[in-house]
Amino acid sequence: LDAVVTRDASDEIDLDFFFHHFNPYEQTFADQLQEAIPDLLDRCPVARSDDFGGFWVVSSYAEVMAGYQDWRTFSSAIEKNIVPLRPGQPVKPPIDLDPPLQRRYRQLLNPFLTPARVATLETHIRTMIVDLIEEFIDDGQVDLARQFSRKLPARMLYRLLFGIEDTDVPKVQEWLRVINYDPRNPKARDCEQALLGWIRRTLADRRAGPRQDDMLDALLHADIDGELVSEDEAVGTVLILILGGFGTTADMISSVMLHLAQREDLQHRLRSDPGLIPFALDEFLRFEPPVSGQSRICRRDTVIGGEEIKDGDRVFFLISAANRDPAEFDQPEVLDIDRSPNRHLAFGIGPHRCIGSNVARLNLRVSLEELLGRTETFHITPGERVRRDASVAWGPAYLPLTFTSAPAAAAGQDGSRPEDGARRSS
Amino acid sequence: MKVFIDADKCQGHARCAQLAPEAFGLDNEGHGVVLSETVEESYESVVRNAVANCPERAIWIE
Repeated sequence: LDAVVTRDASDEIDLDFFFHHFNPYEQTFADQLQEAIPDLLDRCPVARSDDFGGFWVVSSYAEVMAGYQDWRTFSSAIEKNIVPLRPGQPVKPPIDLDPPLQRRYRQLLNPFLTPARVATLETHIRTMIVDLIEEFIDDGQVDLARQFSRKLPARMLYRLLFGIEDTDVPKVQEWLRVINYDPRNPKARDCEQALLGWIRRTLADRRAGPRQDDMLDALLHADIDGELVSEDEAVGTVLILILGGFGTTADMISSVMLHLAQREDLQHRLRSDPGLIPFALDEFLRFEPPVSGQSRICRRDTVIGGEEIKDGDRVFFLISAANRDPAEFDQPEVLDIDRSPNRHLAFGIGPHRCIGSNVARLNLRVSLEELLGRTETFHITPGERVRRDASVAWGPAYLPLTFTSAPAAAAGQDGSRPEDGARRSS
Repeated sequence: MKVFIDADKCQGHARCAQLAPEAFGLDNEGHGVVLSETVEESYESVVRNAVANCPERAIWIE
């Protein structure tokens, strides 16, 4: 990635920030993380940040993997968060729980998110994607982040997974923006309470309505170890499905398109052989994971990389760095869509593996098939600067692209099915 | 060659079923299952590829 598309080339990398004052909500993090990673891995694989009351930052692939898999030592209890808890902040099952209770929630929800189950949504998702592309395809220019990437997952999540209309999306999106990107804003608590109120009303509507075979009803009528899921537990579960489902997929679509915009050779290769897209995606996921890392709280004294981690310490396991660790990946700084093996940690690892990974993969694949299929070429609009917002979430917030639409786009409008073409050549 | 999945380690990344659908399926939760413990010779290389790409290191061959 050409660094100058996201920041001034003259800015020096602020390693002191990454080694001693690490904070995912500072702009330095958003602007410089990828360039700081080799130094973090090499010189400071277990860093100690003095922000948020102090926490560890672990970067090496082996230690990040071990940490996420060892849930007995590194708990997911809500005290794990590096951002101080807000009054009234709900526990969100299953992400704020440990096995075995965490596992019960996953058993309940996983069947709705398997590859086979989400495959039944493909036609609907493709229609949504095509509709979004049609809105800008004649313009020659687009802010892909705002006009495409950030619209799609929201629409998909509401209509297809929750079975409700998405008329409230704009206000929900604004609450989420504050919660996700600006957690120290005094308004964050109000936004969270507004979102919780909205979820409560949504669940009340669903309780009053006819029974549906979907995730929300599974939750509302679930029996976990002989007891119904409580109102607060159901609200917390829906909250994490929303928090996890909106921004991450959007960020990833934009990250892939940002790289492709600078690599005409890869655009060409994936256009002429769309069957490569699912495999190429894993390399993009390795290179630009949309969640830079997650925290845990240590439950028993242990040692990582020579540093003594104490019971009660919080540890941020930095997936972005693990995914570029030369101990696991040959030439980690090279984006190589043929890379194999590729055991990247973009979806996490261990019991909390991203519950929506199969939905994300489907959204990403179909988005790329259609975006590549309906353009002949695209690049970053000259004179424009791509922007990232500071957050644990990682992806372009502003992605100005200039493109030439493909003649095939016209074929899509007359009712033919462009996906058939993609399939044939795969 | 025989292939096995450690069900306690598998977390449902579904990479095995994507890379070697000849040898792996997914259960109701989307967790990997071995279709046939004994691997046909023609599938051995795709099975090795799936083993090498399992993030949880949950698959092994004997």
